[in-house]
Amino acid sequence: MTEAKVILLASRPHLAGLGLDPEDMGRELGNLVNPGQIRMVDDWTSLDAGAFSPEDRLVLVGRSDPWPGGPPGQWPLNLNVEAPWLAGPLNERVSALVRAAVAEAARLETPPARLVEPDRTVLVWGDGLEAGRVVERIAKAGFPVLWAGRRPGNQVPGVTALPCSGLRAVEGFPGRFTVWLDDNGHWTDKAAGAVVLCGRLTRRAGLEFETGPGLISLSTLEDGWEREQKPDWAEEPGFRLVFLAGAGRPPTPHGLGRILSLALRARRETKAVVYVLAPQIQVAGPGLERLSGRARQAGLVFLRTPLQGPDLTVMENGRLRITMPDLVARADLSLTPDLLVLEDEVIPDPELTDLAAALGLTVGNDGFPSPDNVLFPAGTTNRAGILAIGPARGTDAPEILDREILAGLDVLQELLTDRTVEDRLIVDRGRCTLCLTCVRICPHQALSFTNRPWADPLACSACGLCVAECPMDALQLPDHTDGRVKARLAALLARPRTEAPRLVMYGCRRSAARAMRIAPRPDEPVDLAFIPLPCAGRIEADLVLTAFLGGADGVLIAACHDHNCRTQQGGPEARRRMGYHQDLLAESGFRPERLGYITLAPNMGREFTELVTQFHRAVRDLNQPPASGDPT
Amino acid sequence: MTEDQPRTWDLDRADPDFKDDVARRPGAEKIRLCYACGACSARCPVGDIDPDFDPRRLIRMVILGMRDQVLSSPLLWYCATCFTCQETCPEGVNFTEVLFALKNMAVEAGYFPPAMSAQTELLKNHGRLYEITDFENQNRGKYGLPELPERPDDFKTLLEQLKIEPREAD
Repeated sequence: MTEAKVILLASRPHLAGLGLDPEDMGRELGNLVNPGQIRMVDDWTSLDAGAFSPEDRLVLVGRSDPWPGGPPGQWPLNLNVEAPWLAGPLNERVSALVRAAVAEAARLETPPARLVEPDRTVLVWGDGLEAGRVVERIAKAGFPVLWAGRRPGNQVPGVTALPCSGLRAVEGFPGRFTVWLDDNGHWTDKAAGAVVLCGRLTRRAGLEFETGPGLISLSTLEDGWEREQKPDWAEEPGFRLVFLAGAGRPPTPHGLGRILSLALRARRETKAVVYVLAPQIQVAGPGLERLSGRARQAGLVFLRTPLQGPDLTVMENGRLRITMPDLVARADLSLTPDLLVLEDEVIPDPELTDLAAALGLTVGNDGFPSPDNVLFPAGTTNRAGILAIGPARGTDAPEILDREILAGLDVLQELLTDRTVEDRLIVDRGRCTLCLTCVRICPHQALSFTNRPWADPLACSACGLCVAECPMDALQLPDHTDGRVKARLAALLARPRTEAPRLVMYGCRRSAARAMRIAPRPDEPVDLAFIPLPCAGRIEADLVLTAFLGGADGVLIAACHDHNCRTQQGGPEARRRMGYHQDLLAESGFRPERLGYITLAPNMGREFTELVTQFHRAVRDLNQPPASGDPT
Repeated sequence: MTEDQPRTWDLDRADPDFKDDVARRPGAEKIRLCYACGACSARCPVGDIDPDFDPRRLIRMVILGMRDQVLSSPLLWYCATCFTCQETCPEGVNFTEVLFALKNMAVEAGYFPPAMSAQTELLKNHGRLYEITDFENQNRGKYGLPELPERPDDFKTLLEQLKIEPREAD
């Protein structure tokens, strides 16, 4: 590991704003770097970029962001953010933070970069209208498309139809996948840069009732009417036709649209009295507001059910009876439908479920392999280059499918473009014993091995799960090496102790570090050394124990909320290791409560302060002289 | 009204055509557009005094088809005709007009409130809503004004032709 030349640039107004004498402080900081390598800055815009060489490492005291136009190796340090979280005399806190920044800047590394030239071919798996639409749009966007399915079409130019009975495996990495197709026992492999799973539409009624007399699913009623079969009850006056939308959840806009269209048709073409029961009517879809107005004007009766749906009881004569409270009427309503129509929802096709397992795709609570995570474009899975959209994401609405395709095209454009990418993982070939823990733990299937493991730069999310799990310490993330993390820790813990218990926070740089920027200052002196990690999943016993060995009284892990994690598995993995780390502490005679776990989002500044203060008080109580015999 | 209503309303026994009948009345055409936002009830000054007078709930009852309960309700006659609900409604339901329609339908169905009964009685006996007594005519005489006659017969004929019979409400 090379230690580059570090130049300290300190803003005079910034230091003065903190209440320090810039000249005194400048002299003190100057001792932290080689002589002559500190410059006091009055105005960042007056800096001359030509005065620095590209190898120089700059520490910018008084900035939150790098200085545009400067060399690549920059380490901004905003003392206003970090200094309030340390205890002790101000100049000591400032020196410690600057010393930590200098230590980190000295260890900044530029990882090796390589040119990737991904195969632009996209393989789409699926049948039906949805798959056809996906194939057409991707082909129109200029990607060569392989359409694999039971009955793929080949009318669209640029599309090769691959009739087959199943997709069995996707090996390799984005930009160079090998896809295995099964045609009734005969397997063939195809090369593709990306795979789009579409599958086929499968529905199930939202309520757990067998359909039977008096009970029908929306699709069945729709299909029957589509074939021009007027229901046999159409001429029966006063026939009570009841639509039940979205039991247990609000109806989707698309589902509501289907119900309203069919209910309106029933009102026009039959003599039935039409009720629509829903926990909520959301009209935020194309044409829905107008449709709901027309439905009301036509005399459809809307009843609001509780979210979990109305009470349904089977009466002695075998008929269903609906009861529910009505807030507007301030009474309970009861109704015996002559026909109850249940909205059905899209469920994962059994074939999709098998496929997700074979491809190592993580499925959510709804069984679909696309995480419910707003940080990712719709349709992204845990494997880069494999998308799940349309029926494979639970979508049946054409307008939503169109948006998914647009999002998917963005992903494909970015992924399947020639460019230079930096390695995201450094492997120490001498230390590696080829145990392949890294290959197995990676939630993104980004690692493989030839002689030694390596990570594909397009598939790797740099979460550091493998780094944390490697028993030989053979893996490092270039911008968060163990050496750098520990150098920062040592610099911050080298200060003299104060009254406040000494805390270390290992926090996700995407959530906790950002929350810290907007966190209100604590009411009482807190001593918190903040160590950013690429992801909370990077935390490992080594880092926890090093902090305690360095004199920490408490260590706090700050992860993102589940389903709001850029690397998808960081929080759950960090939490899983908590138990192990706490056992280690208990074994060494520490109270396991000295290790805490919290979750934060980037906008949760107030919660940052609350949670840290809470932990601070808990550790302070633990620091009280114990009754004899208790562990410390 | 709330006291004598059953706690559970059985929609099987409701009259689904009621809302359509109301909507055929001039001024009440848009009653079915109500989506029960409650803006009318929130601003109704009568509702402030008597919480039982709840425009949204009355509309709800119409839409659910509770014909007899609505038409027999004395609440229909509580409205102060301030038109606030009408100006407030985002769907243009015109509830004040709806109430005129409902009052007409109530009378047609034979539901007379006691106050209305008394007024009809006055019309029938005096030809006016305010009886003219000797006191008024003497006063008029002091100023040289002619006596005012009472002509109840015209109204008797009119009321008979309209088949409006004064009677006690249930």
